[in-house]
Amino acid sequence: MTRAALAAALLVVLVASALSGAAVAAKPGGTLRMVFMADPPTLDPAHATDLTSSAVIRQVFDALLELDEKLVPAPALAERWMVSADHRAYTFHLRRGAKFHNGREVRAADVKYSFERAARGKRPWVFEKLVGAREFIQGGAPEIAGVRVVDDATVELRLERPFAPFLHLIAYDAASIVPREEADRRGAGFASHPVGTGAFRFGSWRRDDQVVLERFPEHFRGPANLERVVFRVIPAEATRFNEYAAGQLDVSDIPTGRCRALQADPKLKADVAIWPTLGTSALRFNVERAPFTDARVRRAIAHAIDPAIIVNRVLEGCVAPAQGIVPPVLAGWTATAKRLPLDRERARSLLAEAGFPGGRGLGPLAYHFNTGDLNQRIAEALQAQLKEVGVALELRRLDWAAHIKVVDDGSAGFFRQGWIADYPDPENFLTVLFHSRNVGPPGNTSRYRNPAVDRLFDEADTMAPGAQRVKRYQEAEQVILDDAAWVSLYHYASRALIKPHVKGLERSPQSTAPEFLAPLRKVWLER
Amino acid sequence: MPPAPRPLRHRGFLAGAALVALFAAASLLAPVLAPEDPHAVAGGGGATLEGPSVSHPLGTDALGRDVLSRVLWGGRASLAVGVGVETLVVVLGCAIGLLAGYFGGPVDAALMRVTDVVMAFPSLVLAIGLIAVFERPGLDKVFIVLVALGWTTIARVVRGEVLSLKARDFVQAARALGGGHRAIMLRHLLPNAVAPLLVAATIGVGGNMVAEAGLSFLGLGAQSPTISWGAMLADGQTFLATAPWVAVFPGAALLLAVLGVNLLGDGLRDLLDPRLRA
Repeated sequence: MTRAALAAALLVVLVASALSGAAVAAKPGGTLRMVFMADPPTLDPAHATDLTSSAVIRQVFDALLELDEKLVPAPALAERWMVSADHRAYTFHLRRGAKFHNGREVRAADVKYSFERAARGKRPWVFEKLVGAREFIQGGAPEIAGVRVVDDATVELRLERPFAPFLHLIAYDAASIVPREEADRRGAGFASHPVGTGAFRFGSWRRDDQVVLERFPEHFRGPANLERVVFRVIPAEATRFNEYAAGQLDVSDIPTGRCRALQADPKLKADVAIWPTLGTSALRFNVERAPFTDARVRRAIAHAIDPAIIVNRVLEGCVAPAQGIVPPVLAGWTATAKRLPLDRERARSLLAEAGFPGGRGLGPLAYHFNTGDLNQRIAEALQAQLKEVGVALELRRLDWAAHIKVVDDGSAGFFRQGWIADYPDPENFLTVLFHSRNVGPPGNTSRYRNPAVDRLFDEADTMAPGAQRVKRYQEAEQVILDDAAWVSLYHYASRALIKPHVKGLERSPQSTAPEFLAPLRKVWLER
Repeated sequence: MPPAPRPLRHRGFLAGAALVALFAAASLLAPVLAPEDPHAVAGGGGATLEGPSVSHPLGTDALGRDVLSRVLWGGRASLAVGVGVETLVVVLGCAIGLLAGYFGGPVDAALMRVTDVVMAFPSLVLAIGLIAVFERPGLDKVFIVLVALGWTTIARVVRGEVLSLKARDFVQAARALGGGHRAIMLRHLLPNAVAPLLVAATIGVGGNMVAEAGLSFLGLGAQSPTISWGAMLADGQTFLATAPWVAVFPGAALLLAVLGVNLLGDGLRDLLDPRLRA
């Protein structure tokens, strides 16, 4: 190359970079440094049940669909789909040329293999709605009849009955598409060496230290901006914060009790990010256990509780107090429900009506919660508030597994329970939590049985999305709140510190923590 | 001018006595002294984790509760467990020590092997294990467990004293005059073992207070609404960097109270032990 040609080439490069700098275009390259509180238990989509695992799985794998920023299903490995008139058959047309990290193209048979593999994994409920899925899961059938490979690029799914949020299930990370040959060859080892189609491929994993993902240049959407993503595992809250402050992490969480202080910190306040997520923290009663069989006792307690105290004090005002059960950030939802308001006089008169004037004869009521500083503080705040109307609370703290057991088997009468959506649909909050067929472990731990509410759910669950469907859920929600089977406290929010040079991180209501933000393929670093 | 009585010249004893008196008075008078209801979670916002000020001399905690009031009330759990447990421990320990020392032989061997077994366990770990047996933790369970594990020191001290006392002439004389076992043990042996017993029991009170705080710190002791310094420390550790007063004041209260008890114990030993007498 002559010197002039070299200079010309250099000029072209300079102009090009100047131009791209002028636009808000993403800049390729760099390593994004994220942090987990705990090591992910598995990286296999069929076996994950926790958010940490899902956070990695979502980067390494794709499903047929994904949810966009507004949580609306959008094309991923399927480029388009058709729904039959009776809402029971879904036909997906796969994108041509999408490749697994091992170089092989994705085919319709991979979808069938992946769904059947995952249906026998840890989250079978994702596939339960498919024709023949229950038989297959219980081992009575060799395949899921409702998953049919039409041709190499087409797959048809059939449902037992219409289910409005079905596309959300297909976009869930449990429904990730895995390559048969890799999963079969590696067996249990697939969990520590996952192979998918995602924008990032698995790099390395040192247990309790870090997971490294690398850019997959042949991703069907084109290569991601980031060259590498590192998820470090740092259990200690203070250490995570110190590493972030020292510039060793690009994203971290806000330490307990620091939310207000950091929002006022001149150096860090620009990094504070708080956004509402799809979850609600609440208190529930087992309506089959005395004295909570009496709705007046439940209502009295609901009237005696002021969520604002918990929100403003324990949570430093960094979350929103809740009125209803369904979080208002849910797409297509209008929050209309009203909780029973703080009214101590009303609480006292309800207690008297129920035969417990001034709380006499009620005895100390056991309140069950799971171990944790936050839950302990909330419990003490509730104890102090209920004391004002004469109700004594006895605090019963158990670790998570033991807590969920007494909640599920019905031996707890009054307990805390949060709910985070598996998929963004009111059905996942209301039907799952209050339909009489879900009494007990499936979600209705209030053991609430109301035929009128069941009827509203049965209608709404199978209806096409829209105002009529929402109206039925809203009606049921208000009935449940008035019956005080559930007392809403606050809606969850993600609270994160994000360095200003990290661009393109979506703050979706489904990202329950910064490390669970998806997808990272859109992220770039501005240096 | 005649010299002041000996206890008044012993600085450690005086300091210990003063701290213990202060601690006991503060705990007993907590309902009068505490400026606020220690459980009150006031309405409104902005008053959580507030630093020490005129209205809250020791600041407020994460729920906006007054730390001073909670420290005062927290002393009650500490005092109740410290003194209450030790009282029972002394009764139990004296009985076992007297029997073992006085009768000797197989009785002594059996009782002292049991003592050895109990002492061989790391007591805090054993206490945690025993409390786990109960369905619900609480201050009453701490009480039971500390008594069950705490009597060994006293038993050893009393037995040792009895072994040396029972060979002395006045005991032989009492026996020659036809004194029964019970009379000899209670009237002649025990009163002469009081000095070392008192010292051991005082030091034991401090140990019980630390054990109670430790178990409450782990969530195995006092349960809300009962206030304990240990539980306050556990709550405050989250904010050690940003709101140190939540943990520091109950921690300091515990430190001073136990220091006072131990100084008192040491002082008593100096004053009562004839071999240390100048």
